[in-house]
Amino acid sequence: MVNTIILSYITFVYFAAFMLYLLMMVMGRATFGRLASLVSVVGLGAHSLAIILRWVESYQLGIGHAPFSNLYESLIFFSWTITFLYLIVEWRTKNRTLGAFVMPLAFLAMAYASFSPNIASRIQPLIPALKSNWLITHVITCFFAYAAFGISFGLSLMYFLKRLDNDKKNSTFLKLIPRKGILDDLNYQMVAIGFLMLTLGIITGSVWAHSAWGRYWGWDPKETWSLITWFIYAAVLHSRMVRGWTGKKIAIMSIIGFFCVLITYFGVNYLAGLHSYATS
Amino acid sequence: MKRFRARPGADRSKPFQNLPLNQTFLSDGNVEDTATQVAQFIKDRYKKIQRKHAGDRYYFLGEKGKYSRFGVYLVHLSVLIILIGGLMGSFFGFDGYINIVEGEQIDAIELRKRATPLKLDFEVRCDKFTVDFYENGAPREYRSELSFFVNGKEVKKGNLLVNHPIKFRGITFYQSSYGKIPGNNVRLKIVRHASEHEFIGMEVKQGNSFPLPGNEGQFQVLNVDANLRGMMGPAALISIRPEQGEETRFWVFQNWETLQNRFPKQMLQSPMLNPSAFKPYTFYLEDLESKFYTGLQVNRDPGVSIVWIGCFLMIGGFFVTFFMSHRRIWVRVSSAKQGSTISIAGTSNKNPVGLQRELSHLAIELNGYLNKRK
Repeated sequence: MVNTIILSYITFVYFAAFMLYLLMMVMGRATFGRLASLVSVVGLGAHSLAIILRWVESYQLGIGHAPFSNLYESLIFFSWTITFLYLIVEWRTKNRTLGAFVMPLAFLAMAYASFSPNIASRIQPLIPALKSNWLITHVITCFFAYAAFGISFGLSLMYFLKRLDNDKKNSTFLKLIPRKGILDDLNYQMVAIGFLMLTLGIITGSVWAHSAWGRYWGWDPKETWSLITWFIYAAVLHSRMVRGWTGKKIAIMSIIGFFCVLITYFGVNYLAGLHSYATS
Repeated sequence: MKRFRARPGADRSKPFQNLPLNQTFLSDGNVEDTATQVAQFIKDRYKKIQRKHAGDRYYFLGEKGKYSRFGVYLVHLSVLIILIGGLMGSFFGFDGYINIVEGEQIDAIELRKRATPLKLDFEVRCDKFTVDFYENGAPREYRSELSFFVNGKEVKKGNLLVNHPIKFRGITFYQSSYGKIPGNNVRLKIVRHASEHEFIGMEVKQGNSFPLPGNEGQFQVLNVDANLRGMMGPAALISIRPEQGEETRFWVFQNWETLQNRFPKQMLQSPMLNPSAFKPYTFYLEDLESKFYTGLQVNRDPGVSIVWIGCFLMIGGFFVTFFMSHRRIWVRVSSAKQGSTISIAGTSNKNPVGLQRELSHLAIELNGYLNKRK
């Protein structure tokens, strides 16, 4: 299938973008940064095309569903959302340093999808429970949440690196990272977007569950873990708004939150449940 | 709440300390004229304004997004509403299930929380159940064709699919499972071992008695099982009552040959498993009619709409909390050597970057507005 071939090449495109962002940070040359952005934008364009192509192909095969139905497709879409959201942040903030921390996530997701022997890239038909218009909204909202939390994770790493920076050190890499205040502020915005999206994801999921099985919530492992993730980010927002926490504490909580996202995303696939994707 | 009620004076000077350069500019007009124009300009952009006049200085205070401070309460209220909706569902609704065999009709359902079934004021019949599979063996579709009857009259007909529940008189039916049960009809082959072997194929109904081909007595099928003991496959329990003597009972199996290969000989030697237990006959089970039953989840949940209202409020509350802020903008007009000086300052409870952007836009627009008119 053409789409999987394009998608496996995109893995390398994202790796190249990551390397260019890194070069920009290490060498302190803006040219690499501009090139990195260009490569990412081209990669995202091809990526979008491949997803659309996969969608079309599934209709040609007579299966006909949005490409959000198994682990392969979800990884591809996760990588897409994280690159998309990152490029928006880059465009809004006019700062490229975040790329060196976020593009590796996009690259790893693509690499895992394309090269793991356990992940089938075939287009598979939908089982009756997944045949619903809620599939698209549920998946899109959840994955934008994951992507926003991924970017928040990258920002938190940058925050800890920036703490190492001082006047005595003469490291271009550290100097290029924006001020801690800016990182903290951006992190808050990402957590807010992610939290809103996760809430929407949980709500659309429960609307869907209610129309499929007559109940909002089933305590399936993924549901439980997404609730835990939701509580952690709710704690981040509350500690910031009520207690006035900023900086290090928020960065630590964001990192913990992202680990919960990873468990929600990958960990529970190995437990039985409604959300366990076919891994063969 | 305190911050919501607070009415800071329009003539405060604190906001004007350390103003960036681009937020102060000059106008040629005198103080009074400029102040009137500024008032007009601010009024168009902010609904509520206050003004103050002290010496040769005019102050204006514009405010917006005051109610956005309530966004956070809205979010917490919505959590409460969702919980109330959920509780209403569990107190005033019910959560039940029912299996309906194809062609049969029910008027009560089982409840998960109570032992006694719940009587419905209507009947539901499953006309047909079908399950389709993809080539790879994964299920494609489960479909129950249901008819609803009130006082014996058919009122509604519909196809129930996963993700497409059917609502009837406030009660919602969901496709949840299915299964197969043996039907009433059994096809038997009976062999009479005599000088000439007789083969007879018979379609018999469970429970009815039939005479044996040689008139030695009556036989009937007492019981059927689609998969006896979970591993022995389709089976039927035959009972033979001869004219004289004891009743003989034994199971016959559809996959008798396979069973003989799979299980040790001794296990199958029990008289209960001997198809030739009644001489001179041997019974064979040819086919067991099987029927689908559909498993339905049956709910009534009066809290659903409240839960959805709560969800909408929560999302709305998030938008207000995260993306709107309470901003106050101060504009000061004071006299300068030639004309007047205008300064713009502001405070916001959130999003300082957004406030800065608004202030510099405002400065540019106000500057354009004032200096175009002269």
